[in-house]
Amino acid sequence: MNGYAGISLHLDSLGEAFGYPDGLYDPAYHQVLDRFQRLCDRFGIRGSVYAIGRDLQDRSHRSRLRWLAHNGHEIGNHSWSHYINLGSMSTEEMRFEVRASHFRIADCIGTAPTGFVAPAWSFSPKLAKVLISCGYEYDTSLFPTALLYPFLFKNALNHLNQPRKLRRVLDRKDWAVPVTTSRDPFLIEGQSGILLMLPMPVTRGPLGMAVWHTTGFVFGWRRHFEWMRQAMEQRQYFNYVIHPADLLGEEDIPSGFPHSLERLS
Amino acid sequence: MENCFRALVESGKRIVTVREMIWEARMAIAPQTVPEFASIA
Repeated sequence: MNGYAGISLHLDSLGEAFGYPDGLYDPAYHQVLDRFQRLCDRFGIRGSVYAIGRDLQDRSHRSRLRWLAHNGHEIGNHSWSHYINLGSMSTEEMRFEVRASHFRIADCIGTAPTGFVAPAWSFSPKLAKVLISCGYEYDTSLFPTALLYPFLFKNALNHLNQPRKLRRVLDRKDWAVPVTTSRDPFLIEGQSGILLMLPMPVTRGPLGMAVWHTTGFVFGWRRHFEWMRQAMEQRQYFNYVIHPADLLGEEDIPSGFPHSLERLS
Repeated sequence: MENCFRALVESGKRIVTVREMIWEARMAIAPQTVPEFASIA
C-alpha cells in the first residue's frame, strides 16, 4: 500500500509546557524551527505545523511562524491555551479556544488555518461541532488505541507539581475514545459543513500501537521503526506527529529552568 | 529524527501536508454516521 504521508509538528512551546515566564527566549520557536526547516529542506518535503495561539503574543514567535508559512509549510490551529482537557470544557470555552487562536494565526500569516489538533488529543463530539461551525476542514485529535491510558497517566505524572494542569488531566472525559473510534479517516457531517477526522496512525490488531515520534523514546528505536513500517504499510494515510522536545537537547533549555522530559537528559 | 524522515520518504508514500492528505482522503471516503458523533448532524 502506498498512499500518502505527512509530518505534523505540534508546536508546544516550552513556555506553555513548563510555565516559563513570558518573554523568555523559547527554543521551541527558535532552535526547533531551524532544525525542522533544515530536515524538511534536506528531504525536499513540507510539513504541517500546529501553533498555540497564546504563544503568538510574542512578536518573535509571530515572525518565526510567518517564516515557516513563507517556506511552504501548512500552519494549523492547536488551540489558544493548550488546555489538556479541551474536549471536556464547555461549548463556549471551546469556541473561545478555537476562535481566538484561529484569528491570531490568520492575522499572523495572512491565511486562516483549516486544520486543528487538540492539546494532548483531547477530543469530543462537542468540539467537532465547534470546529464545523468555525469552518474547519479537518481534525487530527483522535487517539484510537488503549495506549491513550498510559499516555495520560504519564501526562498526569509530568504535572504533579502543577496542580491546575493535573486537575485538567483528571477532568478529561474522553476515556471511551480508544474503544469506540474508527482508526480510519471518516467524515462528520454538521449543519454548516463537514469535518474530516484523521485519527493517529495505529498498527492493526486489538492492541494497536499508536506511532508518533515519542514512542521511539519510550519503547526503543528498533521497535519504533518496526511499528512505523507496519503502520505505513497498513494505513493509506499516515500522519507522523513530532513535538519540539524531539528536536531539542538539554543544552537548549534556558539555564536554571526545569523540564520534565527524560528524552533531554 | 533524520532516520524517521528518511523512513517516510523511502516508504513509497507521497509526502504532502496534512491538508493535502485530507483532500485526497475526502475524495476517497463517503460520508458516514459514526455513532458517537451522530448527535451533531
